[in-house]
Amino acid sequence: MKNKSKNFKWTNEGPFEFLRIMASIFTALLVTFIVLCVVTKSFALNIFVDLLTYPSRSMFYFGYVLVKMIPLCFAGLATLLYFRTGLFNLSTEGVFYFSGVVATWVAVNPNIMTGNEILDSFITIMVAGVAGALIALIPGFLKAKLNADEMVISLMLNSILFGIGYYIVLTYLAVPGISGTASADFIDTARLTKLIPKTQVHTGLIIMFVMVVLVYILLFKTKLGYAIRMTGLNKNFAKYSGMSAFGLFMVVHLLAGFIGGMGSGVELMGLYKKFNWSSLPGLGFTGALMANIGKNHPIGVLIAAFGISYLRAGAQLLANSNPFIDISMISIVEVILTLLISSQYFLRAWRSKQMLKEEQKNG
Amino acid sequence: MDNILSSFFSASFLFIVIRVGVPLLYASMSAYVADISGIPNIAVEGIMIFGALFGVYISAISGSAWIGLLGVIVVGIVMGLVMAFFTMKMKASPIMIGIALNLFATDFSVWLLLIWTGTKGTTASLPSKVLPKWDIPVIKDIPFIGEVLSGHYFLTYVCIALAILIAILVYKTPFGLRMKACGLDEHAAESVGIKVNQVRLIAIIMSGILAALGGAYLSMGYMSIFSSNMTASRGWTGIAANAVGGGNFLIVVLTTFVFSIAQGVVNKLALTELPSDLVNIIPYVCVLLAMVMLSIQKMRKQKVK
Repeated sequence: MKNKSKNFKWTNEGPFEFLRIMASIFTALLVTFIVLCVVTKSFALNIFVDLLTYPSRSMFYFGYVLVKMIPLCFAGLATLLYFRTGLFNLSTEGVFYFSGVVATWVAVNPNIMTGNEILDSFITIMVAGVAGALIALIPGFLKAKLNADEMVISLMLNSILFGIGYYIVLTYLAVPGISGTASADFIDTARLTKLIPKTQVHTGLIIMFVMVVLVYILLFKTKLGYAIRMTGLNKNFAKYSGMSAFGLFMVVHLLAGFIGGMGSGVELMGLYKKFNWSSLPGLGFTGALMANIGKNHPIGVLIAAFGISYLRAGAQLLANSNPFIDISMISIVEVILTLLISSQYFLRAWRSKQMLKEEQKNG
Repeated sequence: MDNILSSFFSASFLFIVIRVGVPLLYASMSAYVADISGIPNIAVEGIMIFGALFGVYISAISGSAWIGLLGVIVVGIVMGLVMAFFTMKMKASPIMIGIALNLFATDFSVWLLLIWTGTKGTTASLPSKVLPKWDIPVIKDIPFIGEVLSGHYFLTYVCIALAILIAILVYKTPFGLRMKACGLDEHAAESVGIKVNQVRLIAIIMSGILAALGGAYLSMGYMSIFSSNMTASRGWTGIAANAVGGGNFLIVVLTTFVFSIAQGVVNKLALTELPSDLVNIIPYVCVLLAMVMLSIQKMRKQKVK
């Protein structure tokens, strides 16, 4: 281990990966800056600096970053499990919506709520998680049993779940007399309590960190995690290791669905007073991007969720004062990061050249 | 209810089926040409969004629908090039690239809308142009057929022509054979002297143009504005139709037709008192069932082997 620092080279596996990610981030931000300049037809450096610094100017803003990273992180963790197993399942989107509807049904129902703050939040979030897990079993079963294309199926399922979910909201949960479609207010005890005063940060943040640790332990410290990782690398692993592929796929879908559903419950109980989503929240795809940017690692997803949330918060905060800025512009950063990080050959030519130089020097 | 049922067996219903089926067919063809040459194009949906948006914008600033259409084709080519660059030069997974481009298109189009119009909803405030409708001289006078086939948008006829051209290209020309060879086994194709990357580049660009045209159809004919999320999973439906077809173009087209009928039924049922949110999921359920049936069929085949 001592030699490690001595032999440090940027072309080594670890540092090179770090360099690649840094270069990707730099490129993404540079392109964002250029686009800003083009759009505003000026040298938009001050807007760009605002974008990068605004969220850290006050505790409230920074709290906003933390709150908004929670659903991103949950969606990323759920999708990460799929990707690690080699499944391109994007059903987290529909799971988020439908679990939210189920959580709402629980959280507005006085017969279920006990009046105990911790217990009520726990019940609501767990029910949302179980709902998510059950929903995820549909594409899971179709994949495990019939080997059906999970991506197209999960996308169709998203639209179907939204249709059914919205119908349920309209018919059974909506309260007449208020503008827009919304449920009754959640019962207070179901909602998560504030963690940091004078911000929106709620206890969901702790749940998020716990989940990151749990997923980390699952992936890297358990037999199941090993099977998941190996199956992602080689589809036939489960078969040859004596584990049933059917069982593995079902368990992965169950877990990912559960995490997604939980995320939805945490988001609703933490940030919302009532259910008013009138479209899909857009987290299924974002979850896929988080997983990709975070290199399918729980800690990576955590960092990616924080970074993207930070930029989105910056854009959101500036949107009020600047007509050119909107949260949707952060999609530029997201797409460039995803494209470059998933590019195996990005900077490879540079690395080969450096290694060749090294070789020549030594030899 | 009887009224509704009988209206399914009329010329006007078939007219609607064609009307709603054209964007689906563009999407299917886009997925098909990319897929048979070995690079699955998952970004159909996103390219459609960009096609729809840029068609409206360019036609609005240039004042001509035809320049708008030209712009759409350029957008399709650019998107195809981006996909080709990252999948072939940078060795990124086509699936990840597709997912990224789709999300990008969904969000970025909203931002462009904001910048161009000041609102995030639609381009209603832009003076955009639509492509003309065509009456076909002789056919329009034939009673039933005229009612079904005549009076569609320009891009409808382009779509049908392109479908025929693709069938000829894939099944009757050496280039089509090369495309299929690259899709089946790139190393084998390479060993007999086929320039795999070149063939795939052309296929991906074709795929991009087809998807972009599908988007333009939506915003420059079917509707006269762009609204956010107007593609409504049509691109994915096309990808599903391509998957069901399994490399056979005729089956791809027929599957697309079935999905179009489902969409047509939705358009008809939307006028009734049935809950629209539930009616809207019919096409998605159809696609889901088609995918499940496809998998069962594949399983059976494997078992027989």
